Amino acid sequence: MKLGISKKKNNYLFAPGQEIYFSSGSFGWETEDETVNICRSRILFIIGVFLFIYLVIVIRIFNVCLVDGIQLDREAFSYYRPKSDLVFPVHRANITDRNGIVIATNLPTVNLFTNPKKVSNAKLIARKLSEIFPTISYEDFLIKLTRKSSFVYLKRNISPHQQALVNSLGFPELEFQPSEIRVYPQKELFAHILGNTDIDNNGIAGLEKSLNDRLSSSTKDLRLTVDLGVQYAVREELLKAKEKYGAERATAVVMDINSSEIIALSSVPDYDLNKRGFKDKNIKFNFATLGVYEPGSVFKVFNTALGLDSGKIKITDSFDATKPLKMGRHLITDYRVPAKWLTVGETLIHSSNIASALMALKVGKQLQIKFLKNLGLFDRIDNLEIYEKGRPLHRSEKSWQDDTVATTAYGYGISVTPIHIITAFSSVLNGGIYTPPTLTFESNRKSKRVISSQTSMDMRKLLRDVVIYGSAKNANIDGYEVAGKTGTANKLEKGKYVKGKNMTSFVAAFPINDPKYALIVIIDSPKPSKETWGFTTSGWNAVPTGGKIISRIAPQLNVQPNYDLDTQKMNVFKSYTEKN
Amino acid sequence: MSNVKTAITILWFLFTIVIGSYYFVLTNDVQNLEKELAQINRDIENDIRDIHILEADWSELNNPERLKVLAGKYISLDFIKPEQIINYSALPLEGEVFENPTMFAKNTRGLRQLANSER
Repeated sequence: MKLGISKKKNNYLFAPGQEIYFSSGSFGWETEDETVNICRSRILFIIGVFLFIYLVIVIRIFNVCLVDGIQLDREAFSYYRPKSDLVFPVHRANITDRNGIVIATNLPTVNLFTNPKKVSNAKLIARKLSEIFPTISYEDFLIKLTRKSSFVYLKRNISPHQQALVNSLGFPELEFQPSEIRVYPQKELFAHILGNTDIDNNGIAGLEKSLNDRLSSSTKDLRLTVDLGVQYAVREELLKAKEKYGAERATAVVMDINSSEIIALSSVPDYDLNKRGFKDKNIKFNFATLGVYEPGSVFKVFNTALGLDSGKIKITDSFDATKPLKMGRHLITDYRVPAKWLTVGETLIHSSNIASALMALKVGKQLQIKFLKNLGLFDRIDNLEIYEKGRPLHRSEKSWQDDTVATTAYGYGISVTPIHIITAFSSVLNGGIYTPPTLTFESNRKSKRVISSQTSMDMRKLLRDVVIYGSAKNANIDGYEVAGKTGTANKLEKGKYVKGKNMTSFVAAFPINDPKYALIVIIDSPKPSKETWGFTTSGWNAVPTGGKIISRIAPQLNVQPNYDLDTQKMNVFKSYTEKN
Repeated sequence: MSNVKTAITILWFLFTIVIGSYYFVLTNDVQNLEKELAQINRDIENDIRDIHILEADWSELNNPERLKVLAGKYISLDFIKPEQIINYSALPLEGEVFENPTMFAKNTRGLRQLANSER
């Protein structure tokens, strides 16, 4: 019911039956029409508000789905980024041998850590963890869990199985952090070459240290020049030799004679790279590259090459070895050498100190120093990638007098490392080119000529005779023409020669008609035995060891033996009869 | 005129809806593809990690010491000796040595001498 009277505001007079509403918003009473209008506008307002809210929600949904969504999605999956550039599972490059077999690698692991301030039940957690990790005691875990710090490693580098076990305990305080561990699948085999890393995967020895930047900045495999099979054969023969001759140490290096790539390098005793905390420092000593020693008669190779190459000595020249040679304070004598005039060849075959000294004196100081420098025997081999490198010990040029010239001729008064000797030896026999040694295919090296090709050819012949007729007969391997030179020197300990202790060396190349590989074997302090007739000279220990190494590695290195057809057929026949 | 205007407005409205829907579907597809790509990448990374671990395992399995023991135990193989390397011309015909060694020896001087000395 609508009445005109009601349109008037603040009208207190109402018709009978008229509906009267109390309006809180106005001063007085309102009629029905006004109320409807107010309701209508309020409803419209509420609809508007809801529409606005819906609009906001729609816009937001649109925004979230289409605009932010892409960004959020990216963030959500950022753990797996980048998309175009896949993440390699580890951050340190593998090291492989020359055939691509992995010899050092990082494996992804996890570290178990916690915030001790958040640990609620330390005793229970410690007990459970000590059950999962039996090597760590309950007390140790408890100490860690109750430490007053906000971060503590409970166990580093745990296995996936252990991680699953820890997870199954259900303690939210125990957290995992991705990590890596350096693993050496071949254990001791490349111990002195590879070195080791610390717990944070930083190199602390060997190639791991010297090439730390290369290994940690790129995940591309670092391919070494060493051969796994050859390395194994060399190490096994060295272990046998060390045991057989009761030696303190045995070392060997196999080198590609033309490229100076190191094919094998081993020094025993050695150690398992996967284990830590060795107390015996001796086992970590890489004698092959760090062991500076007086090599003895193997130096006669360089002395003879120098003499022939200088033109001052002809291969037919003879030297008086009938009596000892007095040089100042030194009296140079020979050991089991016929007292007669010796030719250059006989000097090497009988390893005459006297004749070698006479040869060197004829050549002179200046040429000798220049030649030894050229062969790299005066300097540390900086080019070699390994961290542990020895610096040769020698007299200064000023104090290099005639007695030094004479003693250097047969390898006394100068100390070098085995790697120095084999590199210089290779350059004498490979045609006369010196190339610095290397362990990787990534090195930049410069070669240089040190002797003429003709001198090199002559040296091959002379050193072959040493193996056929001289002190290296035990290395005259059937099928391979080996050439080499022995060396036995008194061992120097704390500046004094130790009586009865020898450093024996054997340096060889094969096959000598076209040399492919060079080998050096050093036996440190071999003991006399019945088998060696009481001798401790090189011919009784280093040489047979070298011979065994050559006969094992030559077939592996694809060096064809020089048997004629008849012998080959006989070998087939013998092999058949042996089997039956 | 007003009808034309209305039609154009409706057309524009429909066009906007179509474009919007298409854009919505396309974006959704891209998101799904990105997720798929991320999953594929995760799978590849997992495979790379597995291969990486297997390479280490393979190296350990190829440890010469282990192979030596296994070869000695199961196939009686030993290290190759220099005399086992022969030229092609020294290779016997199939069964020549094993069935008739004398025939094989017949044309070989060294073997003939060996056979004579044994007689």
